[in-house]
Order: sequence, then C-alpha cells, then structure tokens
Amino acid sequence: MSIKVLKYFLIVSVVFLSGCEQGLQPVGGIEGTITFPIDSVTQQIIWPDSLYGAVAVVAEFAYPFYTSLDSFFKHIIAYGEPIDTSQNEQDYFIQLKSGIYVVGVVGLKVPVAQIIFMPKDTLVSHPEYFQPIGLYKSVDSPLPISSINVRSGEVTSGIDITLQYDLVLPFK
Amino acid sequence: MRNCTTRVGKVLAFLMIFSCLSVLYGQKAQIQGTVSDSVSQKPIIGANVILKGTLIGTATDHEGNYLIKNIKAGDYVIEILMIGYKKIERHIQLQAGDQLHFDFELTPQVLKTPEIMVTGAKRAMRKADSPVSITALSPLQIATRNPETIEDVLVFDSGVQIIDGQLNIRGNSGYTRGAGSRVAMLVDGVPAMAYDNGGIYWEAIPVDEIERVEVLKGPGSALYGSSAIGGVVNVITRNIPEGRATQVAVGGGFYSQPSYEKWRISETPSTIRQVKIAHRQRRGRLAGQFGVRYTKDDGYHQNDWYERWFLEGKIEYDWNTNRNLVSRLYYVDDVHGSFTQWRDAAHPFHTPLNTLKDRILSNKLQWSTQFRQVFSPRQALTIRSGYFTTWMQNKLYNNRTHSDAQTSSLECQLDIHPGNRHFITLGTDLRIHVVEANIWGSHHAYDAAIYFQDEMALLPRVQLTSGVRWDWHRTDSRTLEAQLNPKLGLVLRVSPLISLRASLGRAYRAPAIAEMFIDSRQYIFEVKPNPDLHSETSFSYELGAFYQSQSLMLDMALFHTDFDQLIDPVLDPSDNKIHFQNITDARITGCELNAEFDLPVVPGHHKIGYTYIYPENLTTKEQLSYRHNHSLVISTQFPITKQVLIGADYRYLSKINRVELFPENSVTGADKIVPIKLVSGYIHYEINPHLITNLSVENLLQYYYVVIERNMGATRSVRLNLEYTF
Repeated sequence: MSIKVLKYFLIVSVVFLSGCEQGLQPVGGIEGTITFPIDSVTQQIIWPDSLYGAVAVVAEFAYPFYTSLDSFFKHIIAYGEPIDTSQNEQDYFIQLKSGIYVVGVVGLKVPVAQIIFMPKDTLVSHPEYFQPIGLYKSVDSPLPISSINVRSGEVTSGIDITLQYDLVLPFK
Repeated sequence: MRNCTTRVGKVLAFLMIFSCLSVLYGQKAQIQGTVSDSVSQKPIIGANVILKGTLIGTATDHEGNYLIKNIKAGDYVIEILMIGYKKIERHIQLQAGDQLHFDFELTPQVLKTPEIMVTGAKRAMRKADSPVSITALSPLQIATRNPETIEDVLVFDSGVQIIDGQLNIRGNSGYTRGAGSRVAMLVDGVPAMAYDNGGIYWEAIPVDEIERVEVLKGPGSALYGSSAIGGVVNVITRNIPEGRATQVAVGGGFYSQPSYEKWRISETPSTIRQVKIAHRQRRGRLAGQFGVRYTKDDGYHQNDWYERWFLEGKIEYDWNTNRNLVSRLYYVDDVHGSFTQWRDAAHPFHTPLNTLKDRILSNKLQWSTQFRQVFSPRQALTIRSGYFTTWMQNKLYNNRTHSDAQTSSLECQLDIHPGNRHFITLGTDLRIHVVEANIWGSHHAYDAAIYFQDEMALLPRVQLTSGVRWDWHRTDSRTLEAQLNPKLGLVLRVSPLISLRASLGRAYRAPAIAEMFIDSRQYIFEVKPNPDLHSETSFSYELGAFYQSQSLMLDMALFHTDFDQLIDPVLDPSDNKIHFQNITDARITGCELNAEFDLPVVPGHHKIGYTYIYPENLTTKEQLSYRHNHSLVISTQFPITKQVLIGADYRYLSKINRVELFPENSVTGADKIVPIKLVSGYIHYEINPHLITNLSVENLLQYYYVVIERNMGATRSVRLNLEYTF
C-alpha cells in the first residue's frame, strides 16, 4: 500500500508541478504623492470647477528636452488611475518598463470615464481635453522638470508633485 | 403587486389540496427490501430503486431499506442504481395484494460520477440516453472541497468557468458584472435567480445536504425558458433519511499571505471561520430538517470580507410512495465589503483608498414547494411553486442604491408514459416579477409558458426527443414578446457500451431589469438605461459520443451556437456612459472531451476534461471578450485506506482572449493577463461513522493571476472542516 501511495504522490506531483509557474510578479514603475493647493483662508482644497478630475501622466524622455507643454504631450505614453480630488494628498502609481521618463499631472476637461475608455494616445491626439496642472521636479534641480530613471521590475518612489493651475513650461 | 404575489400563493395552495384529494386507489401490490454493498455488506443509503419504464421509484433510507406501495399488478423490471456501483436489473411479476421482499447487493465499480440525471428531460434519465451534454457533481466531490458556495466546486466541471462570479458554460456568458446570466440556476428544478439584475446570488444557493449538482451544457429554453440560453445548473437536494440525526460542524482556515511583502494587505493572514448546526428527523410519513450556518471570511482582497448567516429548512410529507410533498426554505443574510478593482498594479490586493468603507448589505429568501402525485405507472403530476426575494443595499463612497426584487413562480408538469420507451412531458409555467429600486426604478414583469416534450423509440436502438416551449414575456406595459423554442434530439445506442447523440435547439433570454433600466455610477463607471432592449436568441447544434465500460468513461462533443442580438454592455461615445444594447451577432464553436478512468500504472481514479471554444463576434470578426479559449481540468483521487481519501486537481484556463476596459499596454507592460494554472488538493478522513473531517487547499502553489483586468485571483487558501453527527 505504501509503495502505491508513494507512486501516486510522485506521479501526481510531477504532472501537476510541470504545468505550473509563478504567474504575475511585482511590477516596476513610479510612485509618489500628489498634493493639492489649500486655500489659506478656508483651508479647503482649491479645485477649478472647469476640471472633471485629474490623472498622473508619464512621457518618454526626449532629446532635446521639452520646449513647451505641447511637446510634452506628444511623448505621453501612460497615465494612472483617476485621482480623488476630495483629499489634499493622494498617492499614485504608474507601471512602467525600464527607461527614462518625465512625469506630470493633467486636469481633465471631459468626464473621467471618457478618457479611461479611450485609446492611450488620446492625450496626444486631443490635447484640448487636458490642462497640465503639475510636473515633477526634483528638489535640488534648477530646472522646472526632471527626468526619472526607472529600472526593470523596480518601483522608483518619492516622485511627489504639487499641483499648480497656471502651469507653463518656460523652455525656449 | 405584493397582493398579486399573495394571490399566486393562494392559487397554488388550492391546486395542491385539489390534487391531493383527486386520486383513489384499488388493491395493489407492494415490494420492499434492502440494498447493500456486496463487498463490505454495509447498507447503501440513497440508492435509487426504480420500476423501469414507469414513473414509480424511491430511494433507500439510512439502513438501506426501500418500500414501494400501491403498484398495479403486472410484469416489471426493477432497477437499482447508485453512484459508484454496477446497476442491477431484475424481472418481477406482481399480483394484486402481493407483498414481496427483494434484497439486492450492489457491486462497487470504478466510475464515481452520478449516472442518473433529471435536468436534461425533466425526468430521471441515464447519462447515456441523454441527447444533450450533461454532467454532474457528486456529494463527495462537493464535500471534500469544503465549499462556501456551489461556485467553489462548479469550476471543477469541464467547460464551466466562473469569471468574477459570472457563470459561463462553454463560454456562453462572458462577463457583464453579474447582470443577465445566460445560465439558468435551479434548486430542485425551481428557478433561483434574482430578477432585478438577472444574475445568480451564489450565497443563496444551498451547499449542504446536496444529492448532486447537474450541469446541462447547451440550450435549455425548450424546457426551462429564459436564461437557459447557455445551459442550466440544477442543485438537487437530498431526501431526508429515516431516523433522527443532529450534525454539528466547525470549520476554519486562512488565505496565505502573498509572497511579496508589498502586496500584503495586513500583518497576519486573513482568516475564515464557520460553524454549522443542523437537525433532521423522519417519523412515519413526516420528515423535517433545519440548519443554520454562520461564516465570517476576511477575504484575500482588502475590503472583500463578508459575514453571512444561512438558514435552511425542509419538510417532506409522504402520503405513500405515489404522493408526496416537499417544501424548502433558504434564507441568507449577508454583509460584505466591496472590492471592484485594485488600487494600482503595485498594490494588487488593495482597494482604492476612497472605497475602503464601501459596504453591501443584502438578504435573500427562497421558498419552494413541490407536490408529486403518481396516478399510475403511466401518469404523474408534479406541481412546483417558488418564491424568491432579494433585498440589496449598496453603501458606496459615491452612491447609495437599493433594490428589492421578488419572483413568484408556479409550474405544473404532467408526465405520461404511453408505452415502452415512450415518454411525454407537458406543462405550464407562470412567473411574476416585481422590482422596487432606486438604481433601476420600480417595474413588474410577467412570464407565461407552455411546454411539450415527446421521447419515443423510433427503432429498437434509436430514441428521438422532440419538444417545444412557447414563452410570453412582458415588462411593465411594453409590447408582449412571444418566443417559440423548439428542440430535437436523437440517441443511437450502437452497442451496450456506446451511444451517439445529436441535438439542436433554439433558446432565448429576456433582458433583465438591470440591463434595461440601470442608472448608476460605481467607482468611475457610469451606466445609463436602455428600455428598448429586446430578447437575445440562439440556435445550437451538438454532436456527441458516449462510451462507458467497467473502467473507462469517455464523452465527446462538438458544439456550435449562433447568437442573434446578443445583449452586451457598450460605451456610448456621445456621453461616455455604458449601456446595454442588442448589438452582436455571435457564434461559438468548440469541442469537449471528458474521460474518467483507472490506470494500472497510476494508482487511483482519474478524470480529465478539456474544452475548446472559439467565440466570434460576427459583426466585427473579433473574438467575444472575457472567454478562455482552452480549459482543462485534471482530477485524481486515491483511497489510502477505507477511511482516508486523498485527491488533487489541476485547472488550466488559457489567457482571457480579449478584455473590454483595460487591454494590455505593450509600451508600459501594464494590465498584463496570464493563463490560469491552479493546483488544489484535499484529504477526506472518516474517523468513525459519526466524525468526518475534510482538509482542502486551493491554489496550493500560490499562483498569481487576474480573473478579469485589475482584479487578482485568490491566493492559497487552506480550510479544515470537522463534522460530528449524532
């Protein structure tokens, strides 16, 4: 009987284990916190009525560096989950493969559902739907925008962005 | 409308009383005896004892005894059937006034799958004689896996997939967040589906005291009407045995923490706790059963916990072998968190922060009654009444919705057996639905139907089945919709071991209230109503072959279904809201192979089921979304001793072919979908006749996968259940 049991376990283990692997694994990308400006008098979040929501966006690094917001839009490759505009600080994450990227936040001039279901190149083809309201810059950088190096399977943390509703890119 | 439901109840009660008084008997014969195992000499409980070719039969009690009274004088073949045993047939001759005693010893055989099923033709029928594909799960297959709901065990049947709670048989349903099931769910032949969203509430379906679960894999509308467009699942509960017994069961378990620390939702593993107490008693003609079960499950996702009370009651009254009444009541009270999709890919088991306090409260009640009167070996009447009510309240961060739905049903079925191998089934079916909700408004709907089925022997080895059901459906005061669903089936018994089958049939599904009138927002998704929806229909063909010997069962099927006006959720680009629309003409073709066997080289008993489907949208020429093209189930079972049984299962589902919302992003690698490969195992240990324990492990190898986009499947779960009966 014991040989039979052993044989059973052995065969079943070999057959079943050979058909298996680990499946999904942790992904790489960037994460950070988006901070909304607060009205110093009311202590309420400042949020323009013209915007339906906001999402964090990622553009591929381009050389020469971006000279305007339009050129930034043209290189956008991904955006994150819709941001909850009712809280003054919101964490975000965007999955990315290894590469060099720049990160920003855009306000949505159309309902959130509209861009969620649209192709990923919507930001490129319809810049009129969006208003840039934030760009990531590292604290020690003199430039208004910083690039981020993402390594395969690793999460680059601390990509924090404070929103500005009158954002422009000053490069010329 | 509530008054209307009450009126239906009164009419049903009147019909039952009338039926009970309608039959008088002359002097008849009776037979009795015992059925036991030829090897162990132990009595066999629940063996079917049938007078072949008639509508008369019974099942053995817990001491293996059977008794059939009021049999008209004549020649009969008595047939003894039980899962896992070789069938016995014996010719008997009865004179008026005879009281004969026959004992039977059944010889164990290899095949463990139930052989007699009722769902295919609304009468007991051998699998080999069915013109359509039908499978069944036995009580042991269910109990060993410690399921909380039937959903947990149905996935081990080939061709059955459950995509985030939505039941698919051979890829018929896809995924619509549970709305508008294309598979009809029945409990003892009575519909058990919510009318508001047209879906299946798994927690409302009994999981204890089950005789078997039958799965009809093909259109069932010719007998079961709407929703059976893609198949039927019928949960058959066990008859209450002789004597008295009380059962106490305690269970517990946990979900393993994900291997990656960042994925963990808490410091300690989520746990599962369960306690159950049940009592049953049969005294003479009357039998009763009552049970209560409490479950608390923390869930493997954040905010995916539930706390549930399940109450069940059953009463059986047998006037005699030919007349009985069964009434069942199931009630579930459920509170659970809500997990719609992950926070982000770095936190796949976390819910978005703003949904952390989302709650869903619900209760469901199902009450059904069946009265059966066998007038003679050639005529029987069955009346089934059902009442299914659901109440649900969503307390989500961005909306508050509620829905209250009630369905009352009454079905009368007449079985006529005019001659050898000739069966006629005809009946009427009436259903009234009332919905009151803020999410889809207040509505009422009616379904009325008549059906007819004729099974006859064309030649000694050829059985022809033909049938038709005519349904009328109306929602509110909209136009009455009529649907005629015919079917045709042919079975050729090539030899005692081999049968070939062919079938074709039309089926339909009326749109659910949710699909027509939903006006809601959940998370970021807004859904708007479309009251102009009409029924979707299908036409199916199947060719199959069945072989059964002492140590091998083989079943093969080729199937093809053409759908017309399939209801699918689509995005309206004008306002970016989702709505349901009759949009797709579709086709699903495929094949299925099931084998059950013993191999000398590999000890134990083994099952393999493989299904291939190709689901095509005929309008866009793309594949229909949320389907797995290939599915494979391998199950193996090995009795170490007479008391200990071990088993293991391997399930493979190929990568979901297409998703609607978040397709894989090749640039960033986001929303990757992988095939599903799961190993599970169990140990069943009968410590003594009173004490049984089951240890089960799902996703043993901790495989990580998404069931739909942005929704991770369960991590490894371990459950131990201990049952004490006294």
